[in-house]
Amino acid sequence: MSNTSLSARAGIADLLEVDDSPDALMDLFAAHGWGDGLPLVAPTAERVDAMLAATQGDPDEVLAHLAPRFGKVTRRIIAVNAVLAGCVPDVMPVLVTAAKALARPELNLRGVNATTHPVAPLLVVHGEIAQRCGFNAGIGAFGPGNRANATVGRAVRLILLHVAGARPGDGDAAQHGQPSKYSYCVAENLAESPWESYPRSRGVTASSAITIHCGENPHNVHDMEAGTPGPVLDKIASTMTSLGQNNACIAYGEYFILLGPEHAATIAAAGWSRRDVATTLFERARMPAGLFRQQFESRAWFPWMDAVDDDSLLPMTGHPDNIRVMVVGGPGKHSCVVPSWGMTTSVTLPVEP
Amino acid sequence: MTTIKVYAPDGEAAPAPALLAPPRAVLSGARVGVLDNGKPNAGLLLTRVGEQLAARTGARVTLVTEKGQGGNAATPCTPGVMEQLEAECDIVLTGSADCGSCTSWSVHDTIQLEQLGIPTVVATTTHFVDLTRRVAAGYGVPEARVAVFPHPLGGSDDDTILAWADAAVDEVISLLTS
Repeated sequence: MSNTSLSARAGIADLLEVDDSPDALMDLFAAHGWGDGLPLVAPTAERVDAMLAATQGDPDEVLAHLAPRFGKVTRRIIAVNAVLAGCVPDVMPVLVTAAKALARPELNLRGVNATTHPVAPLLVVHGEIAQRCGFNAGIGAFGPGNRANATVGRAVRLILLHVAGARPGDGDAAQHGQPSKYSYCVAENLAESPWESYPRSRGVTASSAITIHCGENPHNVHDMEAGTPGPVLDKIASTMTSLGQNNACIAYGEYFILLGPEHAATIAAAGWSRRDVATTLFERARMPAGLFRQQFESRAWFPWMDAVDDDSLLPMTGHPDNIRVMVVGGPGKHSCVVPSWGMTTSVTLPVEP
Repeated sequence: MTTIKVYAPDGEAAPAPALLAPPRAVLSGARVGVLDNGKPNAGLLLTRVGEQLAARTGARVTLVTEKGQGGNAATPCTPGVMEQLEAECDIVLTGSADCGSCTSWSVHDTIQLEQLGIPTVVATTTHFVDLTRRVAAGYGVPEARVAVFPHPLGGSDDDTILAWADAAVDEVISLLTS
């Protein structure tokens, strides 16, 4: 999209008249093909203005365009969808930043929205704003029960449905969809992380940040026994190693490894860094090159992978840096793996007021 | 009952204004390019269509290419390959648009080629033709040149694919010339 079109302002969104009842609002939205199927909060001017009061800048400045509809993202249209989702105004800066991240070319929103794969953007909130707005990084971070996680994740999906045009059957061909297409938002558990914050490890030093990774639902990893890193990482590697994941034929795809705090503590107590975790998983999550070749005629591999002989073991992703590690969740002995759709790269951005 | 006023949630859209390239009255002498997105059997299908079209009309297949390093069904064609197509081809056959992301990006490539003045046929299947047309309509050109093949391309044997290609040549010629 050209810079000139981004400098424009959008017209103020249409106002529609409707009976003052939840059922009438649902009927109105259904008639237009809007909504996610769940009850909605009426986006009246009063509520939208309250949402806008929590963010700085021109409400009608075009911040980005979202594919495939080329919908104009403005603070006002974000606020409308935030109201619909049940958000409180304080989370607006998170949503504005998330919308900008979705428009980044390396995220490939056109592909993410269109694919038959079930992919959903996972929004991770980091730092000061996560604490201030009450995002849940601990027990049950993926839900249910926390308003910030639930409604911000839902607002992201409503923006994709309405502004980006990712309606199932039109802009979204996902064969099955997945539950995380309703809402997919957690916070990083920095308080119980043995390492620096995830954004800082990616060079983003702001006090608040967000990350978006477009992937599958979380895959659980269970290890109740290990007192050393090896067995925990073996099980994570085993969870990553699957011929059915897009990562198996797309070497560009990342993995997000969301360590429970206890697994992270076990690993860090042995002196291991975040990078040690990634490189170990890169070494251990492997299958024979010949098996990949036998299973996939079409492969998006790096050139060096084509040169490896059939008996050698190839990693599930093309580079250790594609394995991203952070701490999420509460007490217990579980972690999770979020595989990628494939042709998408995660985005981490500072949250501005 | 009292009424309230609520905002519509979608806001304005800014569809890229697209126009199709003019059709070619005569295909004789035309240089045909095949832009294979790497989907299973896409290259086999499109190359056969190109060869049969050339045999029928006096055109010639001058370039068979994938999208370039790092490019595939789920990404746009790389700029280098796009420049090569512009330099070496008068018409292009591309696809296959027979899944979600590959449809969206194949139509994107098609629209880009049409903007360069190169009539381009995108190959889809019966199961994805509606999506293909909707994506094209999103660019403002619901009348984009779409050739519809049986479904599925992936998993069908070579003889079947070649027969489907042969059966589609008339339709492809018609899409390029009218």
